[in-house]
Amino acid sequence: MIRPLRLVSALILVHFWASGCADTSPLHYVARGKDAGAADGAVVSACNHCIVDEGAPCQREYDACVADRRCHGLAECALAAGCFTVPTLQQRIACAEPCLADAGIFAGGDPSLALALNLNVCTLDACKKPCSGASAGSDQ
Amino acid sequence: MSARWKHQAVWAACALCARTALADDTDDIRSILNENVITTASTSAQKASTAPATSITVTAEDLRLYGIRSLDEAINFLSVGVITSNPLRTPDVGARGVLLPNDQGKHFLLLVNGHALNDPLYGAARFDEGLGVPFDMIDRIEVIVGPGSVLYGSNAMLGVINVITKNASDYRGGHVLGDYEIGRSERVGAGSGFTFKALGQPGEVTAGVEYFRRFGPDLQLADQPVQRNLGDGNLVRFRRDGSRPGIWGGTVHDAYFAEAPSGMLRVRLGEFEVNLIASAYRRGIPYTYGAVNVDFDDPDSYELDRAVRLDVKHDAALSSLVQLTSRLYADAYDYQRGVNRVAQYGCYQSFFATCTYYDVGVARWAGVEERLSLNWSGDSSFVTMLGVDARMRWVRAKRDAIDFDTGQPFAPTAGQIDDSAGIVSPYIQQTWSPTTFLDLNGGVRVDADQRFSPIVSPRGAVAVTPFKKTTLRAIYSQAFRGPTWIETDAANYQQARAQGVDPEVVRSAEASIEERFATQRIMFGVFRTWWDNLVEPRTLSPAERAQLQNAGELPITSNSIVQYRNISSLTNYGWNGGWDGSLVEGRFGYGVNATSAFTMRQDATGKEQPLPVAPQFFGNVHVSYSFGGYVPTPALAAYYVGARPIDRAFDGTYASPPYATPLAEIRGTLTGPLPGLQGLAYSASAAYATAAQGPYAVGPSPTTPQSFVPGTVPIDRFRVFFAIRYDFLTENSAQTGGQSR
Repeated sequence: MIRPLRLVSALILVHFWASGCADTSPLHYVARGKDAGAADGAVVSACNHCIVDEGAPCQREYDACVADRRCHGLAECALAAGCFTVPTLQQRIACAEPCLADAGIFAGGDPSLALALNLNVCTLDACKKPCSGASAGSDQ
Repeated sequence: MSARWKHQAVWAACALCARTALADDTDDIRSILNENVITTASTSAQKASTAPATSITVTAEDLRLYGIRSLDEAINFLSVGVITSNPLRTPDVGARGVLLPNDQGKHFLLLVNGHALNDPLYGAARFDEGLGVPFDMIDRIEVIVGPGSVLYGSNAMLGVINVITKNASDYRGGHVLGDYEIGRSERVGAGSGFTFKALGQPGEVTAGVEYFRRFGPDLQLADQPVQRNLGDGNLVRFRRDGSRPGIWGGTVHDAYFAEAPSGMLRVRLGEFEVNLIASAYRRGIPYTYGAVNVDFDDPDSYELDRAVRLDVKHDAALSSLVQLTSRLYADAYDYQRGVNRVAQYGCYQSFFATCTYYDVGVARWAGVEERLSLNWSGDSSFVTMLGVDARMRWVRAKRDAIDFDTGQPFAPTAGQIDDSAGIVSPYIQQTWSPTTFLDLNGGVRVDADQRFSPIVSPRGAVAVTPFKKTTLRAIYSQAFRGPTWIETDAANYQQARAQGVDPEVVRSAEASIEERFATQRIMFGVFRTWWDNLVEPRTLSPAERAQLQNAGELPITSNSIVQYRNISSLTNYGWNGGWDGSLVEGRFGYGVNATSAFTMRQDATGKEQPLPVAPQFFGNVHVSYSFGGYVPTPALAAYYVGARPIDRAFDGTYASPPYATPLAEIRGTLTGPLPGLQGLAYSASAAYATAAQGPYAVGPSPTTPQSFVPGTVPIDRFRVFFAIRYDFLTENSAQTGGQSR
């Protein structure tokens, strides 16, 4: 009497323990290049979180920028392009050049640009780590 | 407060009425015949009135009569002390004024034929159509209210629900059924039960399969303007098609769905019993909430549970006084969640259109339980039960961030867990009935888990029956919940690994009186519980975040990092009561249950506030009358939950804490046999809910400064459904008019 039940139990056990479950192995991730326009997605994500999110280190500067229509346009464009992840100011300006034009900022003394530069300084300081790719992540 | 005392006065009056109804000796017999018997409270059959816990049993007949289609409906319409709340994902379950929002059943232990379903990775169990057992196979649902860790270990803090399936004698023959709810859902199922003889031993098989599908209704979620843009001059988008930029809300047509296939096989042969359960539960994510931001009305975002469960039990009567029960069990469970978002807004990615955050968790556990029952006196008046449960658990989990269209990751896999741990849990229970009017029950269990320090769960109960029909009972019990792996070990872009989290503990004291007369039963009880060490996510301060980063514990920089900690405690007290019975030779059945409580949550700073989502007054009432023959049996069931704060009431989102309005849901059902074909039966129900909104906020969290106020989850107010079933090759279908029992 016992044997058939043991056999059935063993078969069932083996079946579902050996059968495929959801795969928990890590995906093979290849970081993108560092140049603007082809930035590492994870770095851009982490960097932008450091700027935009509520309570983020640069949120105060970001909010001040957002309050200005043209700075807002510039910042969001630069965020989307990943400009805050490139290391030097010159590279950042090159990255954000199309954004400057789109935002209607053409003069170096434009107050909107001053607000954007404040944000930029903050990212070089408080968000240096995530924006340089020293650590990267995503939300959710 | 005055309302609470009014209710108490009503119960007191009922008790007086009961005394006057004490009549003749036939009442005694009826009273005994109508005494509920429950097995879950002490693992052996005993009268509910003297069991060491408040309990109620919902039978298959109740489910059929009142048009009940899921476990959470059975709880709401027919149980005492327990209530569920539906956020349109999977329901939260609470008891006696304690309900933890978005808890997913972690604090209620769910059993099927004594086999625990709560998994060790998330701790969750599904109390809706995702239960995993064909609903038609359910014989009864035993609801035990109050701590139950003394016999069952972790998770049994609010109580234990044991779903017991039918024997072959109750499920003889073949059964097919289907039901359809207009604009909402459909279900088909089939099952069979038969007895046989093999190897000289009596045996039986019951088996069933079921497929449930929900396809509606459309949900109307209030528009919430989110005035942010990402630089291209366009407002943020919440829909993949780019429509309605800057607006979250509208009609959810595609994202509120579910599919739940399940199957169960139960085989008994001699002293052996084998239970095999397989189920899946795939469901949509109808709205953004808390930490889950999802595209609006996205049909591709989903959650998926899959489980296979095996339980092999052997009962051996070693002598007339000694019984040995051995149990071998193994479970495989996995959970997957895919959440899609517009990449530019949801993941700050401009290189592709849609990003997916994919979570997956796998849990497997297997164990053996040995239970020795020593019936010293031979008449069950002095029984010692010794048991030990040894279990091994393996868990794995991860989170991927991928491009929805290509499946390629845009960030490294995070939140990986790959761990295992054992737990050994010896327990002892002593029952003693020295006289006919005194029943004592004492027990203790030690759970020695490799993941935390051993924890002791004692219970003591005394039941006094001074008169034949009156039972007084007092119970003290403790229970715990071990932190899940997701709470302690997950470290990802939103969560830091926990450090030194202890199990949650609840202590409970209760007293009750039960009066039985003829076919009536009245119960009234009071309770007081103390909850400590509740594990909750806490948002880290910038300093804490920096400290963890410097220590290399937090490899990312993002705000809104949470860490699970022992944060809060609860104090809770109140009363519950119920009256159920039947008249006119059982044709007229009725029942009413009510619970009132006062619950306060206290955090580490000593700040006190009410518990969100948890109703402090709730109850139900049901009546039915069976005319017999082909005349339809009408039945009416209703439940009520009082006002309760919504889940985000105290997190700073709202200027003043919003409360969900009281909800009453009323359901009328007609059941009966269809003339012309023996075994064919029907059921038709209509339900109406008085409230339009439930206690859960929907939509994205407002940014600073607050630009909008989140709406709340809608309630499907009008529901109509029909069911038909056909029972064939049954010996008693003629008598029962097609009922399965």
